[in-house]
Amino acid sequence: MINFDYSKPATIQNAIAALNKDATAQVIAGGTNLVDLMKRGVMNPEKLVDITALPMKSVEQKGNSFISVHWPSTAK
Amino acid sequence: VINFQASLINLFMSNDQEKEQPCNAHSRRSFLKRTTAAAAILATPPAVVKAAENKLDEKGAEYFEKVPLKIEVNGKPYSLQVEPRVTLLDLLREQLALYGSKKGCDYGQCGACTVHVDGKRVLSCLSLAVMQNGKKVTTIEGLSDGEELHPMQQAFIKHDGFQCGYCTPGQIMSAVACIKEGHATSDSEIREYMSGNICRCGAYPNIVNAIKEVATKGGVK
Repeated sequence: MINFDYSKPATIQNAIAALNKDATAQVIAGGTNLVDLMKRGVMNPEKLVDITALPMKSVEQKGNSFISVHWPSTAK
Repeated sequence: VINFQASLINLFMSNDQEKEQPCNAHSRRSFLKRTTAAAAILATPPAVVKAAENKLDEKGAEYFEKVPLKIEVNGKPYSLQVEPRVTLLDLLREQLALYGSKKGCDYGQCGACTVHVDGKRVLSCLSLAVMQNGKKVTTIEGLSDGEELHPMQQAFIKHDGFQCGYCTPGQIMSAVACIKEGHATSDSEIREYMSGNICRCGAYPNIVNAIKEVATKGGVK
């Protein structure tokens, strides 16, 4: 696997800023559909932004196509 | 660079000329040695030679800094420095010398690398080590209570839940989590929730029996 920079922002604003800074940056949460592709060289991001520390609780499907992200009311 | 290559070729040739012997086989061997060495040097792109001179490789490695990682493995705390690309499986096997977790496919398809992170089963080959900061990892080595085997390990022995044993550490870690999750109430449910662990020997019926016994008798911590 080609090496990369890793960051774990704690706020949504910092995560967006980190993603905007680098065109090849990728979001990682579980990694089960990214790490395998990186091992094969299909994906070669120079930066991974770990979103597991963000104050988001869950992603839910509403109806057939709508997805909503829930986070505690303290998060901005 | 060209001067460097030329001087190397000269070196090879003069050395061989000095050692040249009348024996036919020997001179053929030295001829081959000489020509392949010369070809190898000529084939080396100047950029590579230059990179080696400048030690660019080492600079490249330094560019991606190692990240500090605090992790607890089998009850033992570790404070490490790892490259972001190191997977949890490689960390366990190559840096912590815990060879119980197996690298089967390395692409998250076989389940041989299954470990527990904070009590949940994960595929360590698809988990980056740096993402496990502050977490508690349990591998097959940490399952037994000293010399006393975990009930699931004992059940696998009793029911012959393996042949070659390569998938077994992953099967047992998955099996323990499967019961904890409450997904071991019937044969079909066990098979469904153990479907992430492949066994090429085909010991599935015995694995199901082992899990069923532990699930009904209890004993999973």
